[in-house]
Amino acid sequence: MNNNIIATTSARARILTDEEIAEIDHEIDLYPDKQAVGLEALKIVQKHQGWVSDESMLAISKYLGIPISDLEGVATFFNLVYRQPVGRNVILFCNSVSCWIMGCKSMRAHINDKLGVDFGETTDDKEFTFLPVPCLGDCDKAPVMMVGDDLHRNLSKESINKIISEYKTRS
Amino acid sequence: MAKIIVDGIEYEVNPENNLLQESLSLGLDLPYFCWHPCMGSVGACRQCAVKQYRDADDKDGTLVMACMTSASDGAIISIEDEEARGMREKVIESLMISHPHDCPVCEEGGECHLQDMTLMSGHNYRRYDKKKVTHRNQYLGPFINHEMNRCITCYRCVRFYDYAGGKDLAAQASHHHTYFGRHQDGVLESEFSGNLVEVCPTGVFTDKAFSAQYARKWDLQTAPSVCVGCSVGCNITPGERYGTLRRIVNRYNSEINGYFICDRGRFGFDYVNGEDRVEAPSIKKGLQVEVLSGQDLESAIKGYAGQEVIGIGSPRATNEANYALCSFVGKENFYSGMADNESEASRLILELSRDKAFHSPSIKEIERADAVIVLGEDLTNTAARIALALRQSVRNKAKELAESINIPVWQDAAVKELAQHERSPLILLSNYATRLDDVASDSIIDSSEVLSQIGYAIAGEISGSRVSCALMKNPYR
Amino acid sequence: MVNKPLTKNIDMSRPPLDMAAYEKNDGYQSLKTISGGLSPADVLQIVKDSGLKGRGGAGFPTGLKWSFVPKSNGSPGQRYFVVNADEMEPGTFKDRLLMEGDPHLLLEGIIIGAYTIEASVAYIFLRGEYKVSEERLKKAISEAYEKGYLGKDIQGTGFDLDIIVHTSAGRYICGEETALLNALEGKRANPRAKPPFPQVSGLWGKPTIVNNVETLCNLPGIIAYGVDWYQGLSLGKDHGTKLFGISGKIKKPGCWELPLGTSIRELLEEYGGGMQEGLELRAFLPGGGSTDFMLPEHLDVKLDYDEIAKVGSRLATGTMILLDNKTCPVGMIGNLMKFFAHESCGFCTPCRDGLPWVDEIFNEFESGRGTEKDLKILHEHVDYLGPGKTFCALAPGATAPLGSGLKYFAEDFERHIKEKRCPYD
Repeated sequence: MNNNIIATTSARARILTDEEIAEIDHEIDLYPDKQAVGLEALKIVQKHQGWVSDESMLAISKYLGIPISDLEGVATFFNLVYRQPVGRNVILFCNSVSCWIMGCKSMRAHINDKLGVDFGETTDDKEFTFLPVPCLGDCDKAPVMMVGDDLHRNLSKESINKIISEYKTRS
Repeated sequence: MAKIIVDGIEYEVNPENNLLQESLSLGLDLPYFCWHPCMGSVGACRQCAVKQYRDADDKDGTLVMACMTSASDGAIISIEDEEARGMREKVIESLMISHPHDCPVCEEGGECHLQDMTLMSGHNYRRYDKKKVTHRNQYLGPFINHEMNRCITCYRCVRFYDYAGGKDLAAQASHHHTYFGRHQDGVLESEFSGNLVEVCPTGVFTDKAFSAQYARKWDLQTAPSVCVGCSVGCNITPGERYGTLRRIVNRYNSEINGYFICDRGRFGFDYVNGEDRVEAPSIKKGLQVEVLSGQDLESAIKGYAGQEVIGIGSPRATNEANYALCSFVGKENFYSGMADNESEASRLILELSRDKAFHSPSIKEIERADAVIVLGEDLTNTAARIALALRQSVRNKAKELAESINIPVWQDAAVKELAQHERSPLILLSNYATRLDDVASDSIIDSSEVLSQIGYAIAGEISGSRVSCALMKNPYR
Repeated sequence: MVNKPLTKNIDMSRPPLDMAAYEKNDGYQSLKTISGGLSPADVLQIVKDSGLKGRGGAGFPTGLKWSFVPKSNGSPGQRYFVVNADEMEPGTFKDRLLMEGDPHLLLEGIIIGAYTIEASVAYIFLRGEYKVSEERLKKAISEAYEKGYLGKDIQGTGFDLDIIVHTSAGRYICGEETALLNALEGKRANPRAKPPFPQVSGLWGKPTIVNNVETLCNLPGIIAYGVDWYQGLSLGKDHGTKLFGISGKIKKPGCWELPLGTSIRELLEEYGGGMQEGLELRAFLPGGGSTDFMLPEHLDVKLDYDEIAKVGSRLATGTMILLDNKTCPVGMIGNLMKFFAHESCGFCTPCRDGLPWVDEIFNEFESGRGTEKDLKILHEHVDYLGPGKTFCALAPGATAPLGSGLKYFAEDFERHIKEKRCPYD
């Protein structure tokens, strides 16, 4: 089944926060056409809310005057727009070719074991969401992954254990 | 005119068109999906691959998509070329890998473009034995059924929807999970949504009302007809089975509706099958309505001989019925069912068109107009097909820009990209906001009085002399 | 004289040079040269003469690309300059180094490019995951505005330029320049038909140039030190230096700036230190995931566009991925196919529906269920997804490792079928 998220229940637009609006307005100044700000606005809302809910979609659509279906078409096109709630930390795990050669498969299995989640899943405690990501462009330090905004290189089972416990205690 | 060679035979073609369109016009079999005569080419499906040769000495040739290649003078192509045929076979095989093959229960069966093209492309054995992609369907309202598993991702639906100005249907997700739907379940907003049924080359969008009382295409009794939904006169094909009207589909007429009709025309026929429809002359006695047979009618009429009888006709009844009533009661006792001022306006319009005092443009001409003024009419509600034509007329500016830098007008996406929000003038003068406002260069909303003043001023400007208001009576005043 | 113009300022153990330090190291010298009286046409000629080829993968001559922008005759109208910083080619990690290591160099390159095509707005289309690059570029841009290298009337030339950083949200297809433009406009990143080329109708239908980060980083040196200097940098027919990277099981994986024309052997042995103990080089992809495999017998081939093309592959991004003798080639190709299938935008049929089939077949091979019939279908797809058949170059890129892999590793595919398992497991 194609599990791409397309809202199925009707939602009411939420109210964008002043901070979100200020950031979206800043982007509006940078482009000649508001449509260009659609993806930026999705990312801004995601930065503040953790993900992009149906209510947020509607709010952005209204604010920018972009038809909601078009905005959804963009949101569901890009890998890094989350249309489902994610954990407090998102692990972007590189599984492209260099990391694969350098053994990312066993690193994935290790994270899977350690957190009890595989790609696309969130831990029960909502601490981590585990996602695959195309080549992160740090191939000479493979295997690599990102947690939040931070890149972690030359992964080993030991370093993964350390990274995970660090983020857990960071709450 | 240009000359091209297809498989060794020379043909005369229009160089402004692409090779697919011209090949089809010549009656050559070349399968296609994403191209549509009204919507141009985008090169998505890759089904119309042909071999093109640089010149007579070029024996190798290059594979090109016929829809994305100009039918320019001297072009040499082969449809029958082995590599081209092989490519088309592979494309149809790919398109079919996730198709459910549910043709026996599909409403499209027997009139399915995908079935025809599959056969034409020579794909008759399924090799794909891996997992199929499946989708969830959406509720799209009472008229259109959604069955995404049948989708072959030709992008026609969303392109048509955009053509018709709809905003609530778009491509979602990506790669082989690409999905065509709304952002959530809900009634399709476009007043032309029914065309999705015909635009979709397979059974993703089907006529839900027809499905509820389905009959196979070949079991329907059909006849060429004209839509009675408004005064445009779109050509339609109604289909009947066992005494009930089951569906209406578009019937191509190049000067009028072309490939599309509105939803009122397509879906607004059920009154025909209504149980309380008056099908025979009746006489009302107190609260009782008595149906009269032919004989009874004769005698009932005779009973009123010599008395003062008036006949009230109706603009919604047939000319024949109105004429019969008028003959019976006499012209002096007959009322057409139209208010005097409306009747006067109709008479004036009839007179003027009979005298050819003005040119009444066809829909095709409207689509080609450089600039349009709509005076006091909400066309979407009164003549929807014309509103659709106006949406095309505003694109002429884009086509002009494209031609200025040698982008062929059938290169749909490129033309739109170049023009961005540039549109040909469309000025709407109306009493209220209308559905065409989003493409209007000016939308003036005011009272009828003010609008008619503007109308006089425009007429004066066009004729070069001030038109006296007295000459034209405002029938609505 | 400078011989590593791309990386001379880069030391990843410290933050990048700020404006003052960058300028001290000959930075923004090219702007002084331009304001000293070089017209856009002069700059175009210099870039053409330099022989600089695009470093994003296709290797198209940069000056020639720019020359397709219509002549302005003094009234250019709106034009856009766009930087393709959406580095996502599997195994490619060179633009990150440049942006994190020396952001001012890229800005200087953008200013030169935008000046040449008379664009007043430049967008850097940056990969969203490149957080450090984003932060460093934004800081550098802000310094450049303060210094008057950006904004109105730059250095008294009458030329205005704004640079805007746009961060993407993760799609490989955005590296295709027309898909990138659609993404920048806030649309789904499907590629556009060419013609019309972006030089004529690009961003918002305006004349637009899209260049790769590394390409632009070549420009400051070319303008400041001249064509002769630039051409003297390389050892072979192609000019200048290039970033070359190695990933895989080598002793010292990394990224180095070397003259074009350096031999592959030198790169792998001198810089990479040779294969890890106990491993042998089986094959390598010379320039990222969409290049054809090359074999150890090709080690003496020079890192030049034409030289690599002669042995049936492409220099492309210049970042090599090494396959050793203990890693399954079928698994490696399968990994690439999964990537390409997932990153297909879904617009044209062969790519959208062909790649997932290929991917499914590799899944079967991996789990020991691959058949001769599957193998035949893989072979067919090499042709079916090839150049000219799809809408853009994504799927043809995928056929490069697929086609060459089927040829070079036929025995491995057969073993998977016969042994009903991966022989490397």
